[in-house]
Amino acid sequence: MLFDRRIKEPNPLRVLAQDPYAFGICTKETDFSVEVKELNVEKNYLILRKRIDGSVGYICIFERGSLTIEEMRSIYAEFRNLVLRLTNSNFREVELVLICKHYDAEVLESISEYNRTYTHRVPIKLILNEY
Amino acid sequence: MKGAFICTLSEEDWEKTRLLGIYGNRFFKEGTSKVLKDTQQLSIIRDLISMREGDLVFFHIRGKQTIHGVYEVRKTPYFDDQERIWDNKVEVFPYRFLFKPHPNYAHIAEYDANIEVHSLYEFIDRGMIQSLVTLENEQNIEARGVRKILVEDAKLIISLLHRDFKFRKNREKLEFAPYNPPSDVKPLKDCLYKVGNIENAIKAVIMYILAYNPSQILNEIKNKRELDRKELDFVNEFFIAQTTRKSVDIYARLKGIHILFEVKTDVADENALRQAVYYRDLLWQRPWINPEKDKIFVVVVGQRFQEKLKQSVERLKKMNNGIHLLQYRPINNGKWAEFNYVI
Repeated sequence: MLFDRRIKEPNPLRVLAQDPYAFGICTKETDFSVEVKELNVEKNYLILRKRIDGSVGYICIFERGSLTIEEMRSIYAEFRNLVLRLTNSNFREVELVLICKHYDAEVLESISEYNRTYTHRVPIKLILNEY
Repeated sequence: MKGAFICTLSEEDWEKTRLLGIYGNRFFKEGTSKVLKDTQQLSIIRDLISMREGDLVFFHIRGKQTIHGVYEVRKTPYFDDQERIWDNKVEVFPYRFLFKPHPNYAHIAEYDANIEVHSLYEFIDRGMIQSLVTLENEQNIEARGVRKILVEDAKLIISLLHRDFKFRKNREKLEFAPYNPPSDVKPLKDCLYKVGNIENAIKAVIMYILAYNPSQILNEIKNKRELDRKELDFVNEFFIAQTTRKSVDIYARLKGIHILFEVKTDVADENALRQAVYYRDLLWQRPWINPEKDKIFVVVVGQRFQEKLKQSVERLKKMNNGIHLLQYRPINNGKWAEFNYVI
Protein backbone atom coordinates (compact mmCIF):
# COMPACT_ATOMS: atom_id res chain seq x y z
CA MET A 1 0.00 0.00 0.00
CA LEU A 2 1.15 3.48 -0.83
CA PHE A 3 0.20 5.05 2.49
CA ASP A 4 3.15 5.60 4.74
CA ARG A 5 0.98 5.81 7.83
CA ARG A 6 -2.49 6.65 9.15
CA ILE A 7 -3.29 9.36 11.68
CA LYS A 8 -6.39 10.75 13.44
CA GLU A 9 -5.97 14.47 13.94
CA PRO A 10 -8.23 17.48 13.25
CA ASN A 11 -5.32 19.84 12.59
CA PRO A 12 -2.17 17.94 11.69
CA LEU A 13 -0.12 20.88 10.39
CA ARG A 14 -0.56 22.85 13.60
CA VAL A 15 0.43 19.81 15.64
CA LEU A 16 3.53 19.31 13.47
CA ALA A 17 4.38 22.99 13.74
CA GLN A 18 4.45 22.59 17.50
CA ASP A 19 6.16 19.22 17.47
CA PRO A 20 7.88 18.28 14.17
CA TYR A 21 8.38 14.75 15.47
CA ALA A 22 4.63 14.20 15.92
CA PHE A 23 3.11 11.27 13.99
CA GLY A 24 6.58 9.81 13.47
CA ILE A 25 7.07 11.56 10.09
CA CYS A 26 10.45 12.69 11.39
CA THR A 27 12.63 11.00 13.96
CA LYS A 28 15.64 12.29 15.82
CA GLU A 29 17.69 9.28 14.67
CA THR A 30 17.15 9.83 10.95
CA ASP A 31 16.25 13.49 10.59
CA PHE A 32 18.36 14.90 13.43
CA SER A 33 17.33 18.33 14.60
CA VAL A 34 14.11 19.40 12.89
CA GLU A 35 12.74 22.93 13.09
CA VAL A 36 9.83 24.75 11.53
CA LYS A 37 10.90 26.93 8.65
CA GLU A 38 7.51 28.09 7.44
CA LEU A 39 3.82 27.45 8.10
CA ASN A 40 1.60 28.67 5.28
CA VAL A 41 -1.97 28.66 6.57
CA GLU A 42 -3.42 30.01 3.33
CA LYS A 43 -1.91 27.30 1.13
CA ASN A 44 -2.00 24.67 3.84
CA TYR A 45 1.60 23.61 3.90
CA LEU A 46 4.39 23.37 6.42
CA ILE A 47 8.11 23.37 5.73
CA LEU A 48 10.44 21.68 8.17
CA ARG A 49 14.20 22.09 8.05
CA LYS A 50 16.52 19.25 9.01
CA ARG A 51 19.70 20.44 10.64
CA ILE A 52 22.98 19.01 11.77
CA ASP A 53 25.96 21.35 11.52
CA GLY A 54 23.82 23.49 9.24
CA SER A 55 20.90 22.69 7.00
CA VAL A 56 20.79 19.21 5.47
CA GLY A 57 17.40 19.23 3.80
CA TYR A 58 13.73 20.09 3.96
CA ILE A 59 10.41 18.35 4.37
CA CYS A 60 7.37 19.97 2.71
CA ILE A 61 4.08 18.75 4.16
CA PHE A 62 0.85 19.61 2.35
CA GLU A 63 -2.56 18.98 3.90
CA ARG A 64 -5.74 18.51 1.89
CA GLY A 65 -9.19 17.24 2.70
CA SER A 66 -9.72 15.59 -0.62
CA LEU A 67 -6.79 14.83 -2.89
CA THR A 68 -7.95 14.99 -6.48
CA ILE A 69 -5.68 14.91 -9.51
CA GLU A 70 -6.22 18.66 -10.03
CA GLU A 71 -5.26 19.26 -6.41
CA MET A 72 -2.21 17.05 -6.89
CA ARG A 73 -1.16 19.05 -9.95
CA SER A 74 -1.35 22.31 -8.02
CA ILE A 75 0.55 20.81 -5.06
CA TYR A 76 3.26 19.59 -7.40
CA ALA A 77 3.57 23.04 -9.00
CA GLU A 78 3.85 24.61 -5.55
CA PHE A 79 6.36 21.95 -4.46
CA ARG A 80 8.46 22.70 -7.54
CA ASN A 81 8.56 26.38 -6.62
CA LEU A 82 9.57 25.50 -3.08
CA VAL A 83 12.41 23.25 -4.30
CA LEU A 84 13.64 26.15 -6.40
CA ARG A 85 13.39 28.62 -3.54
CA LEU A 86 14.86 26.37 -0.86
CA THR A 87 17.61 24.52 -2.72
CA ASN A 88 18.13 26.07 -6.16
CA SER A 89 16.21 23.20 -7.76
CA ASN A 90 17.93 20.28 -6.08
CA PHE A 91 15.11 17.76 -5.74
CA ARG A 92 17.31 15.42 -3.71
CA GLU A 93 17.19 17.80 -0.77
CA VAL A 94 13.44 18.13 -0.36
CA GLU A 95 10.92 15.54 0.80
CA LEU A 96 7.26 15.84 -0.14
CA VAL A 97 4.68 14.54 2.34
CA LEU A 98 0.93 14.70 1.66
CA ILE A 99 -1.75 14.40 4.33
CA CYS A 100 -5.30 13.84 3.11
CA LYS A 101 -8.65 12.45 4.22
CA HIS A 102 -9.89 11.31 0.82
CA TYR A 103 -8.12 10.61 -2.42
CA ASP A 104 -8.81 9.68 -6.02
CA ALA A 105 -7.46 6.41 -7.35
CA GLU A 106 -5.64 8.17 -10.19
CA VAL A 107 -3.74 10.26 -7.64
CA LEU A 108 -2.40 7.08 -6.09
CA GLU A 109 -1.42 5.84 -9.56
CA SER A 110 0.38 9.07 -10.38
CA ILE A 111 2.27 9.19 -7.10
CA SER A 112 3.22 5.57 -7.42
CA GLU A 113 4.47 6.23 -10.95
CA TYR A 114 6.36 9.29 -9.80
CA ASN A 115 8.14 7.27 -7.11
CA ARG A 116 9.06 4.57 -9.62
CA THR A 117 10.31 7.01 -12.25
CA TYR A 118 12.10 9.71 -10.30
CA THR A 119 14.57 7.33 -8.73
CA HIS A 120 16.98 10.10 -7.79
CA ARG A 121 14.41 12.08 -5.86
CA VAL A 122 12.98 11.37 -2.43
CA PRO A 123 9.74 9.36 -2.88
CA ILE A 124 6.48 11.17 -2.14
CA LYS A 125 4.94 10.00 1.15
CA LEU A 126 1.19 9.84 1.65
CA ILE A 127 -0.49 9.97 5.05
CA LEU A 128 -4.16 9.17 5.46
CA ASN A 129 -5.94 11.28 8.06
CA GLU A 130 -8.86 9.27 9.38
CA TYR A 131 -10.19 12.02 11.58
CA MET B 1 20.90 30.87 -35.43
CA LYS B 2 24.09 29.67 -37.05
CA GLY B 3 25.75 26.66 -35.48
CA ALA B 4 29.30 26.34 -34.19
CA PHE B 5 31.82 23.51 -34.24
CA ILE B 6 35.25 22.60 -32.92
CA CYS B 7 37.23 20.18 -35.06
CA THR B 8 40.30 18.35 -33.82
CA LEU B 9 43.26 17.55 -36.04
CA SER B 10 46.95 16.82 -35.82
CA GLU B 11 49.62 19.45 -36.02
CA GLU B 12 51.07 17.98 -39.23
CA ASP B 13 47.76 18.34 -41.07
CA TRP B 14 46.98 21.86 -39.98
CA GLU B 15 49.06 23.79 -42.50
CA LYS B 16 47.42 22.19 -45.52
CA THR B 17 43.99 22.22 -43.90
CA ARG B 18 44.20 25.95 -43.19
CA LEU B 19 45.74 26.86 -46.54
CA LEU B 20 43.17 24.98 -48.61
CA GLY B 21 40.19 25.49 -46.32
CA ILE B 22 39.31 21.80 -46.16
CA TYR B 23 38.87 19.56 -43.14
CA GLY B 24 38.67 15.78 -43.31
CA ASN B 25 37.67 13.17 -40.80
CA ARG B 26 39.15 9.70 -40.83
CA PHE B 27 37.91 6.45 -42.36
CA PHE B 28 40.52 4.13 -40.85
CA LYS B 29 41.38 3.50 -37.25
CA GLU B 30 44.23 5.85 -36.42
CA GLY B 31 47.65 4.45 -37.27
CA THR B 32 46.21 1.33 -38.94
CA SER B 33 44.63 0.27 -42.23
CA LYS B 34 41.54 -1.09 -40.46
CA VAL B 35 38.30 0.55 -41.53
CA LEU B 36 36.41 2.11 -38.61
CA LYS B 37 33.40 0.12 -37.43
CA ASP B 38 29.91 1.16 -38.52
CA THR B 39 29.19 2.73 -35.13
CA GLN B 40 32.26 4.92 -35.45
CA GLN B 41 31.65 5.85 -39.10
CA LEU B 42 28.12 6.83 -38.14
CA SER B 43 29.35 8.84 -35.16
CA ILE B 44 31.47 10.88 -37.55
CA ILE B 45 28.45 11.48 -39.79
CA ARG B 46 26.32 12.27 -36.72
CA ASP B 47 28.77 14.95 -35.60
CA LEU B 48 29.13 16.55 -39.03
CA ILE B 49 25.73 16.22 -40.63
CA SER B 50 24.11 19.26 -39.01
CA MET B 51 26.78 21.62 -40.32
CA ARG B 52 25.36 24.38 -42.52
CA GLU B 53 26.98 27.01 -44.72
CA GLY B 54 27.94 30.00 -42.60
CA ASP B 55 28.34 28.02 -39.38
CA LEU B 56 31.29 29.01 -37.19
CA VAL B 57 34.26 26.66 -37.04
CA PHE B 58 37.28 26.46 -34.76
CA PHE B 59 40.16 24.03 -34.98
CA HIS B 60 41.76 22.28 -32.06
CA ILE B 61 45.32 21.19 -32.82
CA ARG B 62 46.00 18.19 -30.68
CA GLY B 63 49.78 18.27 -30.30
CA LYS B 64 50.06 22.02 -29.85
CA GLN B 65 47.08 22.15 -27.48
CA THR B 66 45.75 25.23 -29.23
CA ILE B 67 42.44 26.40 -30.68
CA HIS B 68 42.45 28.37 -33.93
CA GLY B 69 39.74 30.45 -35.56
CA VAL B 70 37.52 32.07 -36.59
CA TYR B 71 36.33 30.31 -39.77
CA GLU B 72 33.00 29.69 -41.39
CA VAL B 73 31.67 26.76 -43.41
CA ARG B 74 31.68 27.42 -47.17
CA LYS B 75 30.54 23.97 -48.27
CA THR B 76 28.53 21.53 -46.16
CA PRO B 77 29.95 18.07 -45.37
CA TYR B 78 30.39 15.50 -48.10
CA PHE B 79 32.17 12.20 -48.71
CA ASP B 80 35.13 12.01 -51.07
CA ASP B 81 37.59 9.11 -50.91
CA GLN B 82 39.07 9.74 -54.35
CA GLU B 83 41.00 12.99 -54.07
CA ARG B 84 43.99 12.71 -51.78
CA ILE B 85 44.69 16.00 -50.00
CA TRP B 86 46.87 15.21 -47.03
CA ASP B 87 50.25 13.45 -46.92
CA ASN B 88 49.07 10.21 -45.41
CA LYS B 89 49.69 6.97 -47.26
CA VAL B 90 46.65 5.14 -45.89
CA GLU B 91 44.13 7.68 -44.71
CA VAL B 92 42.29 9.94 -47.16
CA PHE B 93 40.09 11.64 -44.55
CA PRO B 94 36.99 11.32 -46.72
CA TYR B 95 34.38 12.92 -44.42
CA ARG B 96 35.03 16.50 -45.43
CA PHE B 97 33.74 20.03 -45.37
CA LEU B 98 35.13 23.30 -46.70
CA PHE B 99 35.70 26.51 -44.80
CA LYS B 100 37.13 30.01 -45.14
CA PRO B 101 38.15 32.77 -42.76
CA HIS B 102 34.98 34.19 -41.23
CA PRO B 103 34.38 37.55 -42.97
CA ASN B 104 33.67 39.30 -39.65
CA TYR B 105 36.87 37.94 -38.11
CA ALA B 106 39.22 37.70 -41.09
CA HIS B 107 41.74 39.74 -39.12
CA ILE B 108 41.99 36.81 -36.70
CA ALA B 109 42.03 33.86 -39.10
CA GLU B 110 44.41 35.40 -41.63
CA TYR B 111 47.11 35.55 -38.97
CA ASP B 112 46.32 32.06 -37.66
CA ALA B 113 45.47 33.50 -34.25
CA ASN B 114 44.97 30.95 -31.51
CA ILE B 115 44.43 30.41 -27.83
CA GLU B 116 45.80 27.77 -25.51
CA VAL B 117 43.33 24.97 -24.85
CA HIS B 118 43.98 25.53 -21.16
CA SER B 119 42.65 29.04 -21.29
CA LEU B 120 39.36 27.52 -22.48
CA TYR B 121 39.47 24.89 -19.74
CA GLU B 122 39.70 27.68 -17.16
CA PHE B 123 36.26 28.83 -18.30
CA ILE B 124 34.91 25.27 -18.27
CA ASP B 125 36.04 24.94 -14.65
CA ARG B 126 34.23 28.18 -13.84
CA GLY B 127 31.03 26.83 -15.36
CA MET B 128 31.05 29.49 -18.05
CA ILE B 129 31.23 27.03 -20.96
CA GLN B 130 28.05 25.05 -21.32
CA SER B 131 28.61 22.55 -24.10
CA LEU B 132 32.15 21.28 -23.59
CA VAL B 133 33.90 19.48 -20.77
CA THR B 134 37.15 18.65 -22.50
CA LEU B 135 38.76 18.28 -25.91
CA GLU B 136 40.97 15.43 -24.79
CA ASN B 137 40.27 11.85 -25.76
CA GLU B 138 39.27 10.11 -22.58
CA GLN B 139 39.17 6.45 -21.69
CA ASN B 140 35.71 4.87 -22.13
CA ILE B 141 34.45 7.94 -23.94
CA GLU B 142 34.00 7.98 -27.69
CA ALA B 143 36.86 9.75 -29.49
CA ARG B 144 35.41 12.61 -31.51
CA GLY B 145 37.03 14.67 -34.24
CA VAL B 146 34.18 17.15 -34.53
CA ARG B 147 32.06 18.56 -31.74
CA LYS B 148 29.07 20.83 -32.17
CA ILE B 149 29.10 23.51 -29.48
CA LEU B 150 26.56 26.11 -28.43
CA VAL B 151 26.92 29.46 -30.15
CA GLU B 152 27.11 31.13 -26.75
CA ASP B 153 30.29 29.13 -26.08
CA ALA B 154 31.60 30.00 -29.53
CA LYS B 155 31.20 33.69 -28.71
CA LEU B 156 33.38 33.23 -25.64
CA ILE B 157 36.07 31.52 -27.74
CA ILE B 158 35.95 34.42 -30.21
CA SER B 159 36.45 36.87 -27.38
CA LEU B 160 39.42 34.83 -26.08
CA LEU B 161 40.96 34.82 -29.57
CA HIS B 162 40.71 38.60 -29.58
CA ARG B 163 42.05 38.85 -26.04
CA ASP B 164 45.18 36.89 -26.96
CA PHE B 165 45.51 38.13 -30.55
CA LYS B 166 48.35 40.47 -29.73
CA PHE B 167 50.46 37.64 -28.34
CA ARG B 168 49.37 34.52 -30.17
CA LYS B 169 49.39 35.03 -33.92
CA ASN B 170 51.62 34.62 -36.93
CA ARG B 171 53.81 37.61 -37.71
CA GLU B 172 52.84 37.62 -41.37
CA LYS B 173 49.45 37.40 -42.96
CA LEU B 174 49.03 33.88 -44.32
CA GLU B 175 47.93 32.82 -47.79
CA PHE B 176 44.51 31.23 -48.25
CA ALA B 177 44.09 29.17 -51.45
CA PRO B 178 40.67 27.53 -51.25
CA TYR B 179 40.38 24.02 -52.61
CA ASN B 180 37.21 23.01 -54.44
CA PRO B 181 36.17 19.42 -54.94
CA PRO B 182 34.65 17.85 -58.07
CA SER B 183 30.97 18.74 -58.38
CA ASP B 184 29.76 15.14 -58.07
CA VAL B 185 30.87 14.47 -54.48
CA LYS B 186 28.24 12.85 -52.28
CA PRO B 187 26.58 15.02 -49.62
CA LEU B 188 26.94 13.49 -46.17
CA LYS B 189 23.15 13.28 -45.80
CA ASP B 190 23.21 10.65 -48.56
CA CYS B 191 25.85 8.57 -46.78
CA LEU B 192 23.66 7.48 -43.90
CA TYR B 193 22.91 3.81 -43.43
CA LYS B 194 21.62 1.38 -40.82
CA VAL B 195 18.99 3.79 -39.50
CA GLY B 196 16.98 1.57 -37.19
CA ASN B 197 19.96 -0.65 -36.40
CA ILE B 198 22.60 1.67 -35.00
CA GLU B 199 21.91 4.46 -32.53
CA ASN B 200 24.27 6.96 -34.14
CA ALA B 201 22.34 6.68 -37.41
CA ILE B 202 19.02 7.85 -35.97
CA LYS B 203 20.82 10.49 -33.92
CA ALA B 204 22.34 11.75 -37.19
CA VAL B 205 18.89 12.01 -38.76
CA ILE B 206 17.64 14.05 -35.79
CA MET B 207 20.69 16.33 -35.91
CA TYR B 208 20.09 16.97 -39.61
CA ILE B 209 16.41 17.73 -39.06
CA LEU B 210 17.23 20.13 -36.23
CA ALA B 211 19.59 21.95 -38.58
CA TYR B 212 17.40 22.05 -41.68
CA ASN B 213 13.77 21.48 -40.77
CA PRO B 214 13.37 21.71 -36.98
CA SER B 215 9.60 22.28 -37.07
CA GLN B 216 9.27 18.67 -38.13
CA ILE B 217 10.16 17.46 -34.65
CA LEU B 218 9.83 20.55 -32.47
CA ASN B 219 6.35 21.78 -33.39
CA GLU B 220 4.64 19.47 -30.93
CA ILE B 221 6.70 20.93 -28.13
CA LYS B 222 6.19 24.51 -29.25
CA ASN B 223 2.42 23.94 -29.13
CA LYS B 224 2.20 24.48 -32.86
CA ARG B 225 3.43 28.06 -32.48
CA GLU B 226 5.67 29.32 -35.24
CA LEU B 227 9.22 28.17 -34.62
CA ASP B 228 11.81 30.91 -34.94
CA ARG B 229 14.94 29.20 -36.22
CA LYS B 230 17.07 32.12 -35.12
CA GLU B 231 16.30 31.13 -31.53
CA LEU B 232 17.25 27.48 -31.93
CA ASP B 233 20.59 26.03 -30.91
CA PHE B 234 21.45 22.39 -30.25
CA VAL B 235 24.29 19.99 -29.54
CA ASN B 236 24.74 16.24 -29.28
CA GLU B 237 26.50 14.14 -26.63
CA PHE B 238 25.92 17.00 -24.20
CA PHE B 239 27.55 16.46 -20.82
CA ILE B 240 25.01 17.22 -18.17
CA ALA B 241 26.97 15.84 -15.23
CA GLN B 242 30.58 16.68 -15.80
CA THR B 243 32.22 14.62 -13.09
CA THR B 244 30.37 11.41 -13.86
CA ARG B 245 30.51 12.20 -17.59
CA LYS B 246 26.78 11.59 -18.04
CA SER B 247 25.69 12.85 -21.40
CA VAL B 248 22.37 13.62 -23.00
CA ASP B 249 22.04 12.30 -26.55
CA ILE B 250 20.81 15.61 -27.96
CA TYR B 251 20.13 18.91 -26.22
CA ALA B 252 18.20 21.63 -28.02
CA ARG B 253 17.07 25.01 -26.83
CA LEU B 254 14.88 27.80 -27.93
CA LYS B 255 14.18 30.96 -25.99
CA GLY B 256 13.33 29.73 -22.48
CA ILE B 257 12.67 26.19 -23.70
CA HIS B 258 15.12 23.33 -23.26
CA ILE B 259 14.65 19.91 -24.82
CA LEU B 260 16.48 16.73 -23.86
CA PHE B 261 16.33 13.93 -26.43
CA GLU B 262 16.99 10.43 -25.12
CA VAL B 263 17.43 8.24 -28.18
CA LYS B 264 16.99 4.47 -28.38
CA THR B 265 17.65 2.43 -31.51
CA ASP B 266 14.64 0.17 -31.12
CA VAL B 267 12.55 -0.24 -27.95
CA ALA B 268 12.48 2.53 -25.36
CA ASP B 269 11.60 1.37 -21.87
CA GLU B 270 11.11 2.83 -18.42
CA ASN B 271 14.86 2.95 -17.83
CA ALA B 272 15.21 5.42 -20.69
CA LEU B 273 12.59 7.63 -19.06
CA ARG B 274 14.18 7.34 -15.61
CA GLN B 275 17.51 8.39 -17.04
CA ALA B 276 16.01 11.29 -18.99
CA VAL B 277 14.07 12.73 -16.05
CA TYR B 278 17.17 12.47 -13.91
CA TYR B 279 19.08 14.43 -16.53
CA ARG B 280 16.29 16.99 -16.45
CA ASP B 281 16.74 17.36 -12.68
CA LEU B 282 20.46 17.90 -13.23
CA LEU B 283 19.80 20.48 -15.92
CA TRP B 284 17.53 22.45 -13.59
CA GLN B 285 20.55 23.01 -11.36
CA ARG B 286 22.75 24.51 -14.06
CA PRO B 287 23.48 28.18 -13.33
CA TRP B 288 22.39 29.28 -16.80
CA ILE B 289 18.91 27.79 -16.44
CA ASN B 290 16.21 30.07 -15.10
CA PRO B 291 13.96 27.69 -13.12
CA GLU B 292 11.31 30.36 -12.64
CA LYS B 293 10.83 31.05 -16.32
CA ASP B 294 12.35 28.23 -18.33
CA LYS B 295 10.70 24.97 -19.31
CA ILE B 296 12.53 21.70 -19.82
CA PHE B 297 10.98 19.01 -21.99
CA VAL B 298 12.04 15.39 -22.21
CA VAL B 299 11.63 13.56 -25.52
CA VAL B 300 12.24 9.81 -25.54
CA VAL B 301 12.88 8.61 -29.10
CA GLY B 302 12.46 5.01 -30.25
CA GLN B 303 10.99 2.78 -32.91
CA ARG B 304 8.80 1.11 -30.32
CA PHE B 305 7.79 1.93 -26.78
CA GLN B 306 7.29 -0.56 -24.01
CA GLU B 307 3.59 -0.53 -23.02
CA LYS B 308 4.58 0.15 -19.41
CA LEU B 309 6.50 3.21 -20.53
CA LYS B 310 3.46 4.65 -22.30
CA GLN B 311 1.31 4.06 -19.22
CA SER B 312 3.95 5.60 -17.04
CA VAL B 313 4.15 8.78 -19.16
CA GLU B 314 0.35 9.08 -19.25
CA ARG B 315 0.18 8.85 -15.46
CA LEU B 316 3.00 11.32 -14.91
CA LYS B 317 1.43 13.77 -17.31
CA LYS B 318 -1.54 14.04 -14.98
CA MET B 319 0.54 15.81 -12.37
CA ASN B 320 3.44 17.19 -14.32
CA ASN B 321 3.80 17.81 -18.00
CA GLY B 322 6.76 17.91 -20.32
CA ILE B 323 7.45 14.30 -21.32
CA HIS B 324 6.97 13.18 -24.92
CA LEU B 325 7.46 9.95 -26.82
CA LEU B 326 8.69 10.40 -30.40
CA GLN B 327 8.42 7.34 -32.60
CA TYR B 328 10.55 6.88 -35.70
CA ARG B 329 10.28 4.53 -38.64
CA PRO B 330 13.29 3.77 -40.83
CA ILE B 331 12.65 4.50 -44.52
CA ASN B 332 14.61 4.23 -47.80
CA ASN B 333 16.25 0.97 -46.76
CA GLY B 334 17.56 2.39 -43.51
CA LYS B 335 18.93 5.59 -45.00
CA TRP B 336 16.48 7.95 -43.35
CA ALA B 337 13.53 8.04 -40.91
CA GLU B 338 10.02 9.39 -40.45
CA PHE B 339 8.79 10.68 -37.10
CA ASN B 340 5.54 10.72 -35.23
CA TYR B 341 4.72 11.85 -31.69
CA VAL B 342 2.97 9.05 -29.81
CA ILE B 343 2.54 11.18 -26.66
